[in-house]
Amino acid sequence: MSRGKKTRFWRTLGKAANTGLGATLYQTGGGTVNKLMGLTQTPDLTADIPWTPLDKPLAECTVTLISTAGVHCDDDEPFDVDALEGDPTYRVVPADTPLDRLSVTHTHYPHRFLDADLNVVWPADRLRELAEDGVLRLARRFYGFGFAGTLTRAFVDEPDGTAHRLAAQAQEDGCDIALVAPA
Amino acid sequence: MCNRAGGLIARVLEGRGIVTACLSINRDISVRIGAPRTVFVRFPHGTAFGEPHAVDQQRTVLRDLLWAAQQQAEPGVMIEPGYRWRRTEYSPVDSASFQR
Repeated sequence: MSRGKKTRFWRTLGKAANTGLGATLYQTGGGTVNKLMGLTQTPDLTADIPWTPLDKPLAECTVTLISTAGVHCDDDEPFDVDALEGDPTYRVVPADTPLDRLSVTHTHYPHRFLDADLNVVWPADRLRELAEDGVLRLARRFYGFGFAGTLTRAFVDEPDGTAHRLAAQAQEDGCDIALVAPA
Repeated sequence: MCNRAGGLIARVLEGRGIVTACLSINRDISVRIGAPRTVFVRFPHGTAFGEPHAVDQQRTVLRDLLWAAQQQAEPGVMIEPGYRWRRTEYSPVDSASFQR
């Protein structure tokens, strides 16, 4: 299947997933298709896995959240869900942004759960509770990606690639731990 | 597919000295992509931290992720708590239990 056809396939599947019946069908059939197609397009990188040991207690760690669910601030630019090659960009979300000031721009999965409670993909309320309890420290900024699932290594391997820029921002904030969550 | 992007991003951060813990709803992709630490939950697409308003469940998944971050293990570790969608009952998670 050509890349254009693949993208159209995902777009159609995603739009269907956000209808009532479509959501039910997606969870049974589309999820399986997603897994199979995703696996065939995933490079095997198990031979060389980077590793940084954690060297201090959790309470002294600054923690950030990175999500690929399409979350961004209401007044920020939405992700480009029509981009044939996927959208490698991300949006910075201040960690203290209330959930009702956030939007989700992503057409490839059902939104019925997050419409009820955004914490199911963006657990900012839970993380803020942990910070208030002194369990951890929250970073100043969280990060949202959208429609990045079709992208391959290009957007991370380039020295000025998206992931490297994000890493630099996280380092500026003194991040020790990044929690990375899917859609 | 998002699990692939997340794994790739985690690899970059980890290589630059930031400890990462990935949540995954697709075990096979997460194994293959070589994320440093992964917690796999068999939850539907679009609700990886649990059900809406299920505070205990969401805290449990977060605790597992933070435990993974604190784990001294081999790179590529995959943690599978074995939660069953809408069948597992979750207890309140005490704040003291997040430190491993």
